Amino acid sequence: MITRYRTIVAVALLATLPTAPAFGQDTRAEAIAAQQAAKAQRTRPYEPNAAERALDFAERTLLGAPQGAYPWVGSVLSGGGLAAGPGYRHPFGDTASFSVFGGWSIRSYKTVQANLHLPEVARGKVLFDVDVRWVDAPAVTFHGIGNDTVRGDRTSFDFEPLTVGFTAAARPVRLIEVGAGIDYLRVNTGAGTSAPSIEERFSPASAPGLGIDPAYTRTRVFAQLDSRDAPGYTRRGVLLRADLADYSQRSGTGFGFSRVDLDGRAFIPILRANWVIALRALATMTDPHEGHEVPFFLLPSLGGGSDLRAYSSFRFRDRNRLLLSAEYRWTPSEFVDMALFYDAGKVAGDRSDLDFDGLKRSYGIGARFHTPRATALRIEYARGSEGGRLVFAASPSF
Amino acid sequence: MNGLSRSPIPPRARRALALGLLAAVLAGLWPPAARSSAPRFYPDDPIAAEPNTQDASGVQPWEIDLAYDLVTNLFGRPGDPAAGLRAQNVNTIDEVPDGSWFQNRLGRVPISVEDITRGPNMTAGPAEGTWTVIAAKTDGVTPGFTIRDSAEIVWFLKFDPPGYRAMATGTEIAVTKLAWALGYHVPENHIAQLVPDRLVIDEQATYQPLDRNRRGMHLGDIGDLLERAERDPDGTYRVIASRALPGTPLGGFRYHGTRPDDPNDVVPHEHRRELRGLGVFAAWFNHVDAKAGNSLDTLITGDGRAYVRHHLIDFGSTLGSAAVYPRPYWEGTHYLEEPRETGKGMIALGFYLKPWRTMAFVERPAIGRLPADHETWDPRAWKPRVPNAAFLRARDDDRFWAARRLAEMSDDLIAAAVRSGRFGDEEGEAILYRTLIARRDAILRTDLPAVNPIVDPVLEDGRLRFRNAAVDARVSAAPASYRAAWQRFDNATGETSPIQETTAGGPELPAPNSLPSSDGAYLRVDVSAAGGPEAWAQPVQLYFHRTGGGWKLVGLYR
Repeated sequence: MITRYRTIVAVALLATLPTAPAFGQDTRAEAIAAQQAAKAQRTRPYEPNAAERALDFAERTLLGAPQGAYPWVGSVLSGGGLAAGPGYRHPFGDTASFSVFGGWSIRSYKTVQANLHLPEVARGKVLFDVDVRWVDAPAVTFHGIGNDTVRGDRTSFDFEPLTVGFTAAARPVRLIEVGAGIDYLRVNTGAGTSAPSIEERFSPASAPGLGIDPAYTRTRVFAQLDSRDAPGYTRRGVLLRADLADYSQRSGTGFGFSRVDLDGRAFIPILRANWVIALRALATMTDPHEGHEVPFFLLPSLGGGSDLRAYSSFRFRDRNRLLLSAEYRWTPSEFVDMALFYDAGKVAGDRSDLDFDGLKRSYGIGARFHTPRATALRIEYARGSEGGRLVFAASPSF
Repeated sequence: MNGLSRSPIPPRARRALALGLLAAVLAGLWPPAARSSAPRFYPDDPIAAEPNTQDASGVQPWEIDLAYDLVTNLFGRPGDPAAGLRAQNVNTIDEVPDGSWFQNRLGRVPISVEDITRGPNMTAGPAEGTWTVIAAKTDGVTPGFTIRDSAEIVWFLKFDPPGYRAMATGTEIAVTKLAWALGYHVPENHIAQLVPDRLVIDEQATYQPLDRNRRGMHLGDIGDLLERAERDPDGTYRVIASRALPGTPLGGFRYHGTRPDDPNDVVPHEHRRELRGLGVFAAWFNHVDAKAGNSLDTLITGDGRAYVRHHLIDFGSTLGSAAVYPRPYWEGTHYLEEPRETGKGMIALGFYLKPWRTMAFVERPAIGRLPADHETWDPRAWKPRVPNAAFLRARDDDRFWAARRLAEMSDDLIAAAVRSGRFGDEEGEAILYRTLIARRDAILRTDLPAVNPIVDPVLEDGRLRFRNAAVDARVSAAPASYRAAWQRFDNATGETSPIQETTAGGPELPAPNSLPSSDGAYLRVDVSAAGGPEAWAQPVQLYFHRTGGGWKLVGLYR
């Protein structure tokens, strides 16, 4: 009680003090000097506050290419959810680097990936990379093969690919890149962890490759023309890309095949990019080697946040696929884009069936938070014949 | 409780409260003169120079985190939360004293075409001969070198982006001259030609490729950097050579708060008149990148003491240039992010169109991109990329102060500054010239009449004479009349006693016959105008001090 009244008295006294900023000096210069002398008694080095330190840490670790140890955040495989883990990157020479990271997702998907980027040749016009990638995805979905599989047939399987590969790429002229690569690819599969497991509903006849763990030598070539202003966040430009790969089985027989991916994207800005019309067409064709099958786990698929967005990841699988996407984007600010989107796609066993009949459709709306060159967060709501889905991603839709 | 009525306050507390209240009452009743309070005016008012009295040699270099600076200014409101405060570094006649932040030039001393053409330059630029590269800039998109010329002077070199010869370099030169004339401390900048064959690399020079460790520099690094620069047909490169500022670099200054280790930095930067007024100049030459990162403090040592001098640097993102490409359409019209506007835009399917989407622009490689029309330009609607704490706190009197300086910026001076950019594009230079004149005039029309624009009052020979800055600049018609309320002023107590009121149709008012005549007397004259803009009815308070048989202006408050 007494303390409380002392406080009242103190406040009353303070309120009666003269409010003149300085007194006791005879000149203005002296008055200013007195202020400066008072500050001289309490000067201190600048200390960044907690928020500044946190932002500095985020800049060093999350933006640009990190150096040394860093926290990795990303996705292991579509449908696996957000993953995080430790990473380490060591640049050497002028252009070379070694990086490795491991991640564990909220759905227990795991990965370890390493990359050796060899010294660039001809001022970055020729690039060489060695990659090692191991993934363990214990609950990848499988609904059967074909465009008319039913949602209720959902099963899961464990998908564990290991890839060791070498890629060479060249950029002979601006916008053009060509390259080739060779990989060792081994895929282990097993029972899925989210019931029912694949073997409870499907057999090797309905899911070719079920129960086998093939190893491949994969040879690849690719070519692309890319005039996009920034692949991570695009407002204008075109991407035309073709990938050809041959999966030659190293152990066992019956599951060798070749694969062709054709991807075309166009981004058309309107009225100083107030609107951007974004279009994409993607076609994938696989051809089993004579007398072979394409194993179910390597079939082209549709479904997920980057293609047929209203459908779950890997919802449809077959030897061929077609995807058409269109987005009406508008740009309310320099950091936020909105989009209405429409996706249509199908999978087919026969290439001649890649037509506009029986297309699965999805449509929705989304917001994208981005920097001038990268998409930091994409949130979308998509609807299709199987209901609605929310999509969260740290990458552009396409 | 014994049933007697008792105060809820314990006896000791009651005594303390009574003593306290007594003391408070006594203190409140004490005659003000006996409180040792400061007089309104000191004998040395108005001061012409802001002193740096303390040794600042303990100031340490710092690096302001640009991302933190951006986030705090974009989404917060750093600095003094109090609104509407008067600038705190002005002297008693509402002017900025010379000092480590500002040097009065235009409007204080005559500035000729030759003066502005020379600007801050003390040399003819980098000496001919071999240039030794001692460092290279790899951050950002623009390449840059630090060289030591054959005269052992250190220069920073910056280039034009490919396809835009003169855009960044010419703009930086022209705006440097303007900023110098306006009174800011700016570096010595020259246009020069870099001859790659004359470059040598210092043995100690290091280089840090993007995302890599620092290492020794080699000639290949120079080639890599020059690939991002505009190359002339003869194989040389046009550069802007910026002479290293005198003193030890300490990093930039923030536009809010004070530097904690600088004892002389006692006025929060958001309350500095020259930084608030810089917002007007920034709008004029479209300095959208006016941020901490484009300033530099240096430690100047001399006479056994050190002080910090504050400079504006890097004007590459001004006028039509964004340094590495033409200015984006939106710049100058809104901040990088405005959440409320973004929210509206998010739900509008793109039909919430901002004016810049449809505005006409002119675009030329030599000058970049500028709005085609400045006649309807609203200087108060201009915005830098990121909110600036000092600009946001500018009041009408701060903007008036800046506009007065612009009123002194003649067409000839503007033409000379533009010419010094050597854009090599006659039509482009003409566009810049017309742009700067049109925007200057818009500022004068907006900011000179916004306060009572009485300036330069003189009391002599029984007359009070002054000028009307808005009328002089031909942006307002003369008011119908002026009125002066004359009062004796007690400098110790601040009390006034009325003498008389006088009126006149022009800027010359008769003084009453009964003015004090003894040396040391003070006089307050409240001058307002009738028949002009509403703001002119608000009197300007003028204070005169009787000294040496005459009246000296010692105070001016708008």
